[in-house]
Amino acid sequence: MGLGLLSLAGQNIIGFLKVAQSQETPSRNTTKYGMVIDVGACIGCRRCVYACIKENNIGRDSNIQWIRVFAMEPGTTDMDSGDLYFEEAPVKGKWYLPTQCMHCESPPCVDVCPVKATWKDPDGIVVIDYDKCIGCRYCMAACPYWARHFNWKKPEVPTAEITREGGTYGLPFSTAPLRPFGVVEKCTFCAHRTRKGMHPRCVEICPMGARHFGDLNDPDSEVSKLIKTRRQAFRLKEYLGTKSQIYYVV
Amino acid sequence: MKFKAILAITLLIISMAVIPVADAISKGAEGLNCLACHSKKLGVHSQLGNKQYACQICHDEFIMKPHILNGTLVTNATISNLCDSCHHERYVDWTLGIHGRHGLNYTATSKIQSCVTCHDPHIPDIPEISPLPPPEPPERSTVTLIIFFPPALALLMGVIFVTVGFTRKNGDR
Repeated sequence: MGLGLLSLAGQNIIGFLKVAQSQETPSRNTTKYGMVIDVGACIGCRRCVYACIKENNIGRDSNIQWIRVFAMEPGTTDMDSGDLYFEEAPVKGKWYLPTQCMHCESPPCVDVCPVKATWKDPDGIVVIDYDKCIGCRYCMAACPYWARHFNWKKPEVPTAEITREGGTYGLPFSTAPLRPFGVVEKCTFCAHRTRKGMHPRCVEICPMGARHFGDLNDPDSEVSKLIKTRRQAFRLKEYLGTKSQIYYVV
Repeated sequence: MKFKAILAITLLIISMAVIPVADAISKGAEGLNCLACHSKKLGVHSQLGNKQYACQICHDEFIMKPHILNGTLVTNATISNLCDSCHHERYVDWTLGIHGRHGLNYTATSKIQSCVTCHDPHIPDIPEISPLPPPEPPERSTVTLIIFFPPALALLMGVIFVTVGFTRKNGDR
C-alpha cells in the first residue's frame, strides 16, 4: 500500500516535471511548415512587422525587424532592388514583398555555423540555440535573404509587454523569453504557436489576408492548394538552390 | 421616288417621337427608384450598372431579392454565386477553402461562411490604413566617415607637408 502510494506520488512528480519542462508537442517528421504570401493582396502596411516585434520580444530600440517589407518595381522579383524604407503605401505601380527567414530546405546558414548552434528541426523550422551561439555572425553573411539579425545589446522590452514564450522556438531556454546580447536571432515561424497548431502572429494580424500558413506535405492544406491553383508561384532567389519554404503567389 | 421620300420622313418623325418615349421608360424605371426610400451608400459598388442601375445589378427589379446576372434569384445561402460574377478569383479560393475558412488554427477548418457573413455588400470598401514607420536606415557608414575622415585627412596632409619640407631642405643643401 505504502509502496503503491509512493509510486503514485512519483508518477505525479514525473508528470509534473514533464509539464514544467516543455508544454509543446514535439516537432514531427511528417510535417513541413511553410508559408504562402499572396503578393497581389499585400499593401505594404507593415502590420506584420510590428506584430512580430511585439510577439517575439524584439528589443524596441534595437532597430531589429525580423520581417522586412520591400516596395518593388513591377517586373522584378529581385529583393535586392527593393526599397525597404518606403514611407507611403500602397502606391500605384509598386508591389510589396514581405521577406523574413525562409526556413530553407538546404539552409546555408546551418552549414557555416562553427559551433552547430543552429540547425533544421524535423518539422522544417530552422532554429537557433541562443545558449550555444557565440556571435561570430558567419550565418548572417551566409544568408542570402538578410534574415538574421545580431543583438548588439540586450533586447529592451517594457515588462508589461513581454510575451512569455516569444522567440523561443518553443524550447526551454535558460535565457527565455528575452535573448541575451551578442547572439544572432531570426524569425522562428512563431514555433511556440505553430507547434501547438496556431497560426504565426504575422498570419493572424494581416489585415488583407495575404499570408497563409500550413503544412506543405499535406496536399489538402491551404498552402499546398494555393501553390497548386494560383497562376504563378515563385520562391525568392531560387537559383541559389536554397529551396525556401516561403512561397509567393500572384 | 416621292413616296420613298415621304416614307423616310415619316419614319424619321416616328423615330423622333419614339426615342423620347423610350427615354421616358428608362427614366420611369429609374423614377421608380430605390433612392426615394433608401439612401445610396454603396461605396465602390456604386460604380456598377453604369452608376445609374447600381441597385438593379444585384437586386431583382420587382421582387427586390438578390439575383445573379441571368435573373435567377439567390438566397442568403447561395449568395456567393452572385459575388462570383465579378470576384471570380476570390470565389475560386473560397470554394477551395483558401479564403474565409481558416480560424485561429491552421489544422482545423471552421464552418463554411458565405461571403456576406464577413463582407458588407452595400459598403464593401476596406478601410484605408496607412503604413507603419520603416526601420531606421543604417547610419554607421556616415558616422564612421564623419568621425574618422577629418583626422585621417589631417594626418595625411601632415605627412605630405613634412616629407615635402624634408625633400626641399635636402635639395637646398
